[in-house]
Amino acid sequence: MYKKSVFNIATLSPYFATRELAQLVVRRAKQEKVPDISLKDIQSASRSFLDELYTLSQKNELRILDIPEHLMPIFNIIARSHRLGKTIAPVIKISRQKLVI
Amino acid sequence: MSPLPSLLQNVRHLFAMMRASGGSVDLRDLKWIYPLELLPLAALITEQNLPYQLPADEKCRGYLEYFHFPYGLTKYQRPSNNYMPIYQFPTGRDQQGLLVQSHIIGSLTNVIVQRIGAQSGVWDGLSTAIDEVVSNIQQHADSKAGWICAQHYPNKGYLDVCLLDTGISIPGSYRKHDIDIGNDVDAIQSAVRGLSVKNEEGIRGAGLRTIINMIRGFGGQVVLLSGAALLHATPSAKLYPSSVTWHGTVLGLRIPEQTKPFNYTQYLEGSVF
Repeated sequence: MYKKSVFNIATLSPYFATRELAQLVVRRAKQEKVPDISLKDIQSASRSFLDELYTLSQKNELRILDIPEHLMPIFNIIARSHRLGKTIAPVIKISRQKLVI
Repeated sequence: MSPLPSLLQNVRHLFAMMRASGGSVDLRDLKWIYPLELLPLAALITEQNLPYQLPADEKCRGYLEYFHFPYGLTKYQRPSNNYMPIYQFPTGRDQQGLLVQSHIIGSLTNVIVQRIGAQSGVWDGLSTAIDEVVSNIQQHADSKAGWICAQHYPNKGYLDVCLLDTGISIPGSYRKHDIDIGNDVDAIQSAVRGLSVKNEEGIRGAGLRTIINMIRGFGGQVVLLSGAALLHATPSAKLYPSSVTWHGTVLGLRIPEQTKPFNYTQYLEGSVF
């Protein structure tokens, strides 16, 4: 008998993948008892979404498959951040002003 | 290319209108308004149930009607021209709310990308930035709804987007988690440095920095008003005490039209500006 082994995020038809959506995806994957989550055909997924998915998939021993090429740079930074245990992100220099706007 | 007009002008205009509005919002003398001014007023009127008076000027009144001012839309409708109306999107965590939100924000981002120039990489950069804003609203704002609207100015060569919530603000979120951050200006500085209220849950605190860097990468501007602090980021980033307190967070983006492919990956880390 066919047993589903992948939860494909595209089945939710998300237009936009936010951090909260990652939690929903992992909940659904656990409910359906599948070991893998597929990002096939995902047009957009932000750093927050991928970070949450990465964290929760590690916690729940789920594999993330089919990461689209255009999302790989963000995914690689997230994986590197977790490996190093620190956030890799832009540095923004701020100058504080006394003037009240 | 001529420099973009400063978003601080819009902030000053917004503050003047907010100061003038006590228990009601009087727009009778209004001739013209930008998304960064329009959306906070719409949210205030709707969420505080304030009475309001529409502009006497017919053109301006028509403009506000097109935006569905003040209550906005809750389901996506494809915009027919340069105005992207006001939308309220749900911030709940249930599947239906998440998908409605995803539809509104994703569809609008598509339209925005088409307007500013659908060059390679622009979608990735813009969706990364806007998604971070929406994720912040969901995760930290304690707000029932988020708000968004946008307008393209083809003659001026740029597009304005405003997103906001009427929640607890960034300083309020730190205080809620018993993180001692000083005053509101200190809090925004901490947020831009990457201090997260959820550090225990993994690698956090990249969101606001990514938003600012990505929009600056487009050659654009960011205004962030949260509590009584105001950040204005162009290639430089300046942080001001604000004379008006916003209970929640308002984010204004001004993005010039893009004529070249955009390498969004170079704005994900390091110091570019």
